[in-house]
Amino acid sequence: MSKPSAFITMYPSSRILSVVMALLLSLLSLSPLAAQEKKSQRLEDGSRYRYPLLDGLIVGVDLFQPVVSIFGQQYANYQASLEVSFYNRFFPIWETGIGWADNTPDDGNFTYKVSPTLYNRLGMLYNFNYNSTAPGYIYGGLLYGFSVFSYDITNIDLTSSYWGTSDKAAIYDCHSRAQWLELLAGIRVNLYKGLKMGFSVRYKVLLKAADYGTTRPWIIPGMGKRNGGFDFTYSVYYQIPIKTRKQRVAAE
Amino acid sequence: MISLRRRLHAARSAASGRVAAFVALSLCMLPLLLSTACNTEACLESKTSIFNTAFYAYGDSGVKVIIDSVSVYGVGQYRDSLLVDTANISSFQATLRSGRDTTQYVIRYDQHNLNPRYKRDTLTFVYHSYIEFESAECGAMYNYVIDDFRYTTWQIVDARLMTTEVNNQDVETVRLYYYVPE
Repeated sequence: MSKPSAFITMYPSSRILSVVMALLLSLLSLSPLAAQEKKSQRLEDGSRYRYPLLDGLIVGVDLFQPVVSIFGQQYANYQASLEVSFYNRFFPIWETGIGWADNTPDDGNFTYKVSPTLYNRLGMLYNFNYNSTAPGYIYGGLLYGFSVFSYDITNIDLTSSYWGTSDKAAIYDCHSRAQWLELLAGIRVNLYKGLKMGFSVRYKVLLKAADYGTTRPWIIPGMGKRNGGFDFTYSVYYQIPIKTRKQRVAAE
Repeated sequence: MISLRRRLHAARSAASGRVAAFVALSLCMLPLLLSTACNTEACLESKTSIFNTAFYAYGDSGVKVIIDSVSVYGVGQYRDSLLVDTANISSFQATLRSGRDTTQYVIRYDQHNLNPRYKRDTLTFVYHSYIEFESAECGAMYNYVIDDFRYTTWQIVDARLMTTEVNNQDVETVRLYYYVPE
């Protein structure tokens, strides 16, 4: 009996190359922004920051995942975010959402299911153009994500061509908890007043995902597929301005 | 009033300009999106559990040997098809039968000079199974734990069960030792 041959693997270098190309193109198109940012880092009046300590609250909703799930992706994370802007420079962020999966791979002999499950991410974003008055900015960040979830592996088809046997099986209610890191870079553009749009490119690395017996979780709410790799968000944000007493007095 | 209109018009055109710039930037990200969509991993092991049986010379040398004209088949296989059909081999791979706790394989030595009585050896595996799901690429499969291993000694001199675990890893499960004249 011969062993089934392995499929051709797509080398990660091609992925990395395409990411580098995309980022280069993005940065090139933003070079006027970057130049303006350098000039604006030092303020004329000698102060360090143009924006106040508590600059605002930013709420956001990701639009990318709902769209890809409409176009047939068999898992998704629907998420919202809440950030606090400190000096328009540091953004502590909390992302929360619902992740689900109902995925039967084309060449797989199973269906992997995760019922809608809450997940959370905590982290910090950094605005590289923090003193700029330009209508947009480039940012980077690091997030720590975690979720506790259950998954089912159903429609398992165990066929032996030699013995002529065909068994059906399922494994229900496998419990797991997972932790991962996301390194991200993104761009945001102010559209009108506090309304912003932006996208981020994220590289996800799984830190830990608990096995359940002889099964290993595959799609993790909030993380996606356990192999990690690149992901994308395309979000709409609204910045709620916060005026401190000092600012109100100054305005009056 | 006119200045207010102008201001509103300016704000609208600025916003539409930013949207256009943002869409252009987003298009720059298309290569990345396409690359993530083509992110295909592969199963580097077997998609079924297999056991490997290898032939060795009996004695101190411990060298692997090739045996001429060997056929292998499973007992009770529904089409009586051969796993190995009269080949010169030093090892073979086979699967255990699910839904049963015992599987037997017959090794038939098709050399002409052998007495028919000594032409067959039988390997018997007694086991229990469980389902494993380790990766999406390899899928779900039965794994087996061998509880008992027996063999006949018409040609086989000795046999060793190297591991009791039968899974999709490419490891030697059974070693069969044969007398090899100097």
